[in-house]
Amino acid sequence: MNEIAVKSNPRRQRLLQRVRMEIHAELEAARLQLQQRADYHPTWDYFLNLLMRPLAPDRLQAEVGPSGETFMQFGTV
Amino acid sequence: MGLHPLRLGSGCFCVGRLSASHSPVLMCPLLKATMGLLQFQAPTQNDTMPWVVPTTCDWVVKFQELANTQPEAYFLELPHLHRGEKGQQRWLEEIYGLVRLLENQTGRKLNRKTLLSSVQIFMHAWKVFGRLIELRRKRVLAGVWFMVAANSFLLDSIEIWTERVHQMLETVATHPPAPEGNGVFLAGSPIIFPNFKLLHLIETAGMDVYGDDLCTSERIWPGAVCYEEPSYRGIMRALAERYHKACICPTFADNERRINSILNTLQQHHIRGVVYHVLKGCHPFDIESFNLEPRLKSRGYHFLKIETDYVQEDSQNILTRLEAFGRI
Repeated sequence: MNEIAVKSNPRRQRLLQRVRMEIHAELEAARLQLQQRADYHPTWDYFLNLLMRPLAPDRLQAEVGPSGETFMQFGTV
Repeated sequence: MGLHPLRLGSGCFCVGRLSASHSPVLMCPLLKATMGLLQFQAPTQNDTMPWVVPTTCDWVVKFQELANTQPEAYFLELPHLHRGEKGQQRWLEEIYGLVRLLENQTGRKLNRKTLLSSVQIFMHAWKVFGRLIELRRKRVLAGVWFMVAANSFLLDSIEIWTERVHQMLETVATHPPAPEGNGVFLAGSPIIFPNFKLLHLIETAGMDVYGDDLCTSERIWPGAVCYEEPSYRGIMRALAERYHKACICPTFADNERRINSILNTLQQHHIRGVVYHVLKGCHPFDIESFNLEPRLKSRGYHFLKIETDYVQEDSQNILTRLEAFGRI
């Protein structure tokens, strides 16, 4: 569904808002489960932080490469 | 070329429902979740860059059509016979086609020097990744932590990621190995954070993953880029071979080496059996399980197929089966 359709549909917007919070809660719960393990060490936080941001295309734009360019690849062979 | 590859994929359980109304019921849950996530993506300059879609499984091929979002897909036609010269040559042509696309997009030319420099950066990453595998085999690194490191591959610049793995290895390498116990090999459909359900359940059942062949984990590392001559064409050929000839994805038709590779790992590291993970709708792995199971059992290895979805409701059921598997 494109952005215009979402903006003009308040129910859809509410659904997206709710799911966004659920994603956040799901990711936080998964991270906490790992951080509570006996073999956890703070060096793992770097990797966990990378995994915590599922909307990576937005994130990479700011963080990767001085030019800010990104390229999205899909799938592995 | 100043570009950063990003693999799309999601392990979020809750987000799949955003795409449920416009996708098949039995669709691969990993891609369904990814489709859901894309609905949050604001239009950015990324939209001008196409998605590169290697034609692996049917879900991947149809993904862009189902997602119905920008940007457009650029298909890399994957020859599904990879042992013969014909398939390898076709794949090499696909790689040259991809280079032309990237050059057109960026306005920059790929040359031997930058290609060689990039290969060396990745070779260093593979070396560090190899040490990671070694520590897991020695039971110093738990299977779940290995997956954390592997899943984060390509989510940051490769040099930074490699350096961080290196630092982490120095910390972990000092840990004593876990007592020898119930090590299993995990094969099948990919696992992506936060969907570590199966890994946690395997641990709860008193076992640990000593090795795997998941394309989001150990199969990222199928070896080095071996070129005979460091010319542009020589390196391109080596790259094409590394990602095609050396790949053991179950979508290939001539894939005897995949089963042999699993058997070798079991034998070399005294792993007692395979837990085979099949996501609902993941046909290549589902089909392969019928070939793999008798081959393993005839050599005395145990085999447990777990078919699951992006839900928590089946956890207890899976745990009961894993506990029984651990007691064999």
